Amino acid sequence: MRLGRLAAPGAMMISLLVLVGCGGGDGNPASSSASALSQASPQALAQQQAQPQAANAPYTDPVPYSPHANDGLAASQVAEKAAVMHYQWKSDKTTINYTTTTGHLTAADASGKPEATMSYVAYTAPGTNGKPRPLTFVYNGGPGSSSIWLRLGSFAPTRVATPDPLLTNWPNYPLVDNAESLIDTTDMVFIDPPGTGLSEAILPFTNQQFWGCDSDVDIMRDFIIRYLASNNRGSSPLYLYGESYGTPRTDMLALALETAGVQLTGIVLQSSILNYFADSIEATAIFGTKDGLVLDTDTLAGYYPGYAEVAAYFRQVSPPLLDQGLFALQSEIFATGQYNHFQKYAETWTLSQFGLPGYFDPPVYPSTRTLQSWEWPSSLTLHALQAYFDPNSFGLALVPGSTIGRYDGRVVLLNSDPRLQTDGDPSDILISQPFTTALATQMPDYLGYTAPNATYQPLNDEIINVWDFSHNGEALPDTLPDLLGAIQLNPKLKVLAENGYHDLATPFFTTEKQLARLQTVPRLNPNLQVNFFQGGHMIYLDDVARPKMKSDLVDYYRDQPIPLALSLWTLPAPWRDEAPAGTPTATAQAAATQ
Amino acid sequence: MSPISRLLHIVPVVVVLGAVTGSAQAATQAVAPVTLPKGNHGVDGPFFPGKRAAPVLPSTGTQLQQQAQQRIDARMGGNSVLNNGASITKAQAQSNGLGFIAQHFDQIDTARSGRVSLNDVKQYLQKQQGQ
Repeated sequence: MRLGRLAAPGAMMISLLVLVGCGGGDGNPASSSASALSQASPQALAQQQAQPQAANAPYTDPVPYSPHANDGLAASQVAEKAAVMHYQWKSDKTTINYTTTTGHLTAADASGKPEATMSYVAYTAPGTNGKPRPLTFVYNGGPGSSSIWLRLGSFAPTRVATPDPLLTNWPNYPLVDNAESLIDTTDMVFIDPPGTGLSEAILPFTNQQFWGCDSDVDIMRDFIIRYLASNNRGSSPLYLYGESYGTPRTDMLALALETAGVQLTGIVLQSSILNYFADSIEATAIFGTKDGLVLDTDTLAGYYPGYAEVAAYFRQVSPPLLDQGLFALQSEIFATGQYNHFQKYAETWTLSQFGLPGYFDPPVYPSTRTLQSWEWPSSLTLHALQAYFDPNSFGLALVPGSTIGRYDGRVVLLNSDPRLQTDGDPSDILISQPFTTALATQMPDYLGYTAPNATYQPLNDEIINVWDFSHNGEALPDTLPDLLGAIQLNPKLKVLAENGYHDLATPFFTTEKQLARLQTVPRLNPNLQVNFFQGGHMIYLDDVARPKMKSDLVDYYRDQPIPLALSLWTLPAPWRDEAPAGTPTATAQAAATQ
Repeated sequence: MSPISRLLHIVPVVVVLGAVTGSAQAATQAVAPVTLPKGNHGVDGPFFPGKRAAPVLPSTGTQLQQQAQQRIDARMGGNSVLNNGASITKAQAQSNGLGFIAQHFDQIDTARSGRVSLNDVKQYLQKQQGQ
């Protein structure tokens, strides 16, 4: 059943497509040339050859975009202008001539009232077979993050090459051609939400009005509608790709787009946090009352398999690891089997992640004898098991004297490293400064775009403090109902959830348990696939993972089953406390009918 | 000459043009340094509100379905033009951003009244789920 965990032996089928699809438009301000390209018939190619319109058109944008909460631009100041550049991407078998379009479009509400001028980068290519090319809208999360992390790291035609999970040559990483680009499979539009990148509200709206779960989804929807209209892409198969907070955003945005009449073909949820309540460390461990600890055992068990993968990376397993997928399965079985035992330690474990294990009660730790009894079923060393329950957090205890990463537990720095003083996550340090440095030259040199009167915001920390997390009457977003709603409006919606084994920010087991809630909905048979890779939150940084992700994504776009991916029915059942009393679980229902 | 080989033929010209115009853009773009609130949670979060929330047990089964229906209703005009049993025409659906209703209007409007209510939409969706 759990074949999805097994590494596909030698299955590196990098399906190299030969000029798949067609109809790529771009956000070209000179829209006549864009439409000529978008036809991409032999005649259009000939036309392209005959006319000088393929010439690059850099753009210097004079607008002084502001990221601040109370700011907005006058409608007279904004313009839908963009830099348009032409390049070539090559893989072993394929050559794609593609266009980058970098600039702004104006998102407006249904009545046409302008709301925000949104910065974006589109990578588009003409096709050959008369069918419109797929179009994927891509964004990061935060909330407060621009889309540069995915744009510079994942599947664009060029990328910043990192030594993940090492820090060799930090902070200078080269910008390289991306052999794993999806430009042979889909056009990509990377979007910066208002207050990030160079996106800003249009008066009378101000940036902060878009800093909430629901208003953010509205403005992202309105941008996408504008992009489709402006580039005549309504007939293209449409996809959303979100990472981190970008995954609850995707669930909510999919429902918003479907109700607005924009039919999606698929959504990709990478490194998910679909239900904010599911993390008792971050969301609900209220100081002052123990009520917040109600989901602590789920949280302890949810982090465990990812932690175990990280321990295995540091060779703290016995016998040595054979396969990450098998080990994940073993760790999930272990954590599920020990769930009742874990309950005793869950309060202490949760509070230990703050270094305050005895905040409410005398701490309760598993005895050495208990830990020893877990060595065989878990395959972890005694030290690794002890470190998981360490009073100063597992992140500081696993590798003595060092801090392991939150985004990627394999990235490690000595505690004395001065970089940890401003950023406690070695795996965040890995990309934070290098990517922002790369952006400063990539925008003018490659994208042909500069905004000399504005400063690009990779992450706007002003947003985080004031974001309105409430959604549907609850304090935090639980977006499984939104995902279910989107599937009900569009039962054919293709859903793909990608997970990194070494991600300790959004652990894969928790994501499986959340998606498994859909098992309890009668007659639901969603087109859901779940896949796993070595690597952290930004899975694509890993040079082993990225080609596999690419191969799986090509299958996904081509409507081919992803080899070894889990489906809804091969996910582990949801936690027992996730069903209200008296509701039989899917497993119980299945057993009753046998 | 095939379209592809024609394309290949013109590519060097495009690339050279790119190099020329690219070098004309010598400036760098100002990019703000990343500063993390309290020094953690990274460039992409996920960030959580400073104030922790009371836990809500994850829904399953019927409750999950009801929540999904509430969210569809809210997005489908249930809090605005379709609240309290109000009905709208196809044109009104379109002008209020309810493209789903406009696109499926004739299937939703089984009574052929020219107007649909949220209840009509729900019945249509239930029929779709049953298929």
